Amino acid sequence: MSITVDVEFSGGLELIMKDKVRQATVSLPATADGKPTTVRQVILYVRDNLVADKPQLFSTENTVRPGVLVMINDSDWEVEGENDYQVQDKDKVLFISTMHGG
Amino acid sequence: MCDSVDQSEHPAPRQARSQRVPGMCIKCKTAKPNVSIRLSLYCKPCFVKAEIFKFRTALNKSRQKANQHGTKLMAAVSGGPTSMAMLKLILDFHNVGRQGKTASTAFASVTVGHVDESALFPGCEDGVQRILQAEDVEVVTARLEDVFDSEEGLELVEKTVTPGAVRDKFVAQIVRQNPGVSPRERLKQLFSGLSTATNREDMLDSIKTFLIKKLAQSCGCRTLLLGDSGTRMATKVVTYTSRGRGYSLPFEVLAESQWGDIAVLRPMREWIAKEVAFFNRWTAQPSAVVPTFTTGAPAKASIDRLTESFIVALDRDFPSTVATICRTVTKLQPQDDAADAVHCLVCGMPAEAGAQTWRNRLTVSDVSSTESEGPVAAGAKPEPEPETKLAAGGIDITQRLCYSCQNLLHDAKPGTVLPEFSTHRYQTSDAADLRKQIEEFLI
Repeated sequence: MSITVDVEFSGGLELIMKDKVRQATVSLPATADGKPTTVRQVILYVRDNLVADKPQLFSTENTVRPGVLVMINDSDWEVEGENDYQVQDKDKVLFISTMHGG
Repeated sequence: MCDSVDQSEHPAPRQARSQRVPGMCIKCKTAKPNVSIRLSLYCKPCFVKAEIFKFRTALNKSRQKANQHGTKLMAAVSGGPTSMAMLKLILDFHNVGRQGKTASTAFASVTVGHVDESALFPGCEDGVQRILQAEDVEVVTARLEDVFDSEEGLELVEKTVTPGAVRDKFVAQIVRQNPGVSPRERLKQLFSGLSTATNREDMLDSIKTFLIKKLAQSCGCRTLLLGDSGTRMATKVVTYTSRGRGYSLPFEVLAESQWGDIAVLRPMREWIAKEVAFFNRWTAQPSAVVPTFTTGAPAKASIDRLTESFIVALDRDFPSTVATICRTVTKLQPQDDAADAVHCLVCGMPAEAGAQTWRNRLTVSDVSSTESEGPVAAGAKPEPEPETKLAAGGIDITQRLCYSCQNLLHDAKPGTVLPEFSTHRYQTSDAADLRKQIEEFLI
């Protein structure tokens, strides 16, 4: 079984994506290693599949780099459990860069 | 530490605070939170309300409050997230009285001052203009290359960077610009003559500061709002300190400062970048991506970029980092002599006298010069070189540069032509000097 997640990039992150996409729909397995898929897997998927070059501008240490904000369904991911939030089908994940020089 | 920040920002009776409902919005205590700011949880409507309130408090705290009606205001807008949030907030505040009985606005007028940077960053301007045109406000624009409109320029002809105070000097001459070269080309030449990204950022800051001040003056605006967020301010404080701008720091980072006859306010300085991003998202405020010299570059590309990475990374683990730096900075005061100090030819900020002596004490020079001149130089104020030693038309500008801009020009190529404001500042300060000299003879 797989789930689909809408991802969106803003604040300049769209410029480092392939074809400078602002929005994309990604398909992920509902479980990974027997555990439900978390937003960390979404981040890693984006880093490996959507970022054109310089992945370090998007992600470091298997999560988003400092200065990149994440919103899950229009809420701060910090209130949703950050990396360990279990993504549901049709969830919307937004990445916003706040870096001036990033 | 974080609690103390919260307390002062959202003053509430002790009782009310103790009634915090775990896992609920800190304000309404009934809704599920949508955002965490410095470990405090807010729901969406409460967050937007709290941010508007915070902006208005910051604005009202300023001394302009007394003569708010009748103040012509300029908002410096780059098109980036913070300045666009500021524009939205100031326009809302300005127009809030329009529906009332008196139907008056908060200020005499609000004008947007924008600096077009497309000469250095091609392609970035279209997006900004589109966003600005959608706003119901008058926009005045200056282009970066406007600083090369004049026929005359101050050309750096010689720089002697010998360790040892008395010999270190910068010589410039006033040259007529080749009319065949466009201002845009001259601007590009200036930036390609500056060797490092840090220096280019430094020069860009100086030019933008000059242009925005000039825009405000030409529109008759005595109050200028700058959209620096707290995150940006914290970065600036550390960057400027490491560039050697400590002396003029109070003029560049405080919530209020005076640039000549213009009052400069920074009402966004209590907002961290995250608050700006969420506010813009939830109020559907569009903004543009404003590139810098180091956009997309590694962290070590410039001091500014490195500081930003440092502050942002620290702030993730210690969410009160930015607030702590910003609050510490409010205690800064300009030195007493800064009011009468010479204004630097490049950045226009007050320059501390004796920057040379200062440098000599800090830097390691070669052994012989340290032994022979070091102790003397450390105690005595460096004497300017006799004028006769200069080439025809040469001007010793060393005493007219601040410590940081001396650093900037150390790395500049000879032949670099400085923007016209340097010539202008040189000429006006020369006239002022002359006036000082003959003042006592005037009746």
